[in-house]
Amino acid sequence: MRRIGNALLPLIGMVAGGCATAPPDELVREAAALLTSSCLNRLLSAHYQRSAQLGRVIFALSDDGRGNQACAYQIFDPNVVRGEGLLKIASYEQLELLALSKCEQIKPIGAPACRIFARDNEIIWNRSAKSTLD
Amino acid sequence: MKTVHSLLALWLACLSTGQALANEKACTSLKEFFQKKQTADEQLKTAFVELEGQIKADAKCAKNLLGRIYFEGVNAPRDHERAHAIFYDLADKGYPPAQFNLAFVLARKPNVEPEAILALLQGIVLNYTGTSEYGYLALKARDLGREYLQQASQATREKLTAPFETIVREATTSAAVKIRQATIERIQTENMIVGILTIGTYASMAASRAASRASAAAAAQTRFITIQPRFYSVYPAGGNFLYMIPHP
Repeated sequence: MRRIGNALLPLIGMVAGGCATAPPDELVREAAALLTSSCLNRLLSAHYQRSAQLGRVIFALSDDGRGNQACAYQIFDPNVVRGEGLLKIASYEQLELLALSKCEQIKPIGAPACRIFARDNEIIWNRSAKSTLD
Repeated sequence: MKTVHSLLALWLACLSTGQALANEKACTSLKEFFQKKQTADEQLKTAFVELEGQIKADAKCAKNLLGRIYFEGVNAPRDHERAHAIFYDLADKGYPPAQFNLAFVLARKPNVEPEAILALLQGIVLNYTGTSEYGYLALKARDLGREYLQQASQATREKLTAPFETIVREATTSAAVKIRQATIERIQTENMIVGILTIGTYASMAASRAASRASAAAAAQTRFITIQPRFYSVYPAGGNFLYMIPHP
């Protein structure tokens, strides 16, 4: 019995590990309708998904509406960005600026401005909230 | 004697900072209260009394909230001109949320030059992108600018979109560089503190940070440009008429 348990352990680990980075079905469906394959691969990559499921990652996109897209993301990495306080957790605003700046650097000249596509695994691309007074 | 003076100054500084923080907290709870339509008259009256007290104490957040109350007209009669005048007055004094609100109000007024609105928004984007206190306002200003341009005429859109986006891009890039740089500096500082445990290094960094914050605030003051509200002169701030509490 113990032997079987030992043999199954790595398998359980692999399945659990896989589950932890597997993107939600809803995200895959929604993103596939909006992103080109290279950007979709980035959004669904294990690196992005690990960060998204832990929280604190921003995905920026430039889309000209004719199938040309440029994208970049910024995860919360304390060696790149640190927030205030004891835990030094970066704010979404800081991550947003870094992701947009990365995206702006890689997008072709003349392509539309980069905007936020997703915050963690929540797509906010087409959800334009109307401006309000402060 | 000198030590007593400096201790007294420190105590007073702590006291005023504490007071400012308490005011800000009270203002935030009032903000939440006035966001919804209030039906209980007594509660509304009490909230207005509290707001009046804060305005008398010259709390900019409370004054800004009063402008919002007048603009939205949910818990008081709507008065766009007064709201405009309040935001103008506070924005002129360098209060960032009022600068944004002024742009918001101007964007909804007819016959306002788009250049004036975008200049105001660009100023907010340039001054506050990446700052810890008002970084969110820069993002709001960026979104408001895009929203405004989307609804503007085609000629305006063609003329002003590219310069606006260039400023947004530049501000974003420079803020990103600053964020990375600040992180590197913080890592270095932390390593230094752990290694040597010198208070002097930390104090000098705090001083330089305070100096740069002061110069940024000064720059924000000097860069402020916009158009005066048409009926500004009928709301003299001196006689406390501008910040008169409504009586719903």
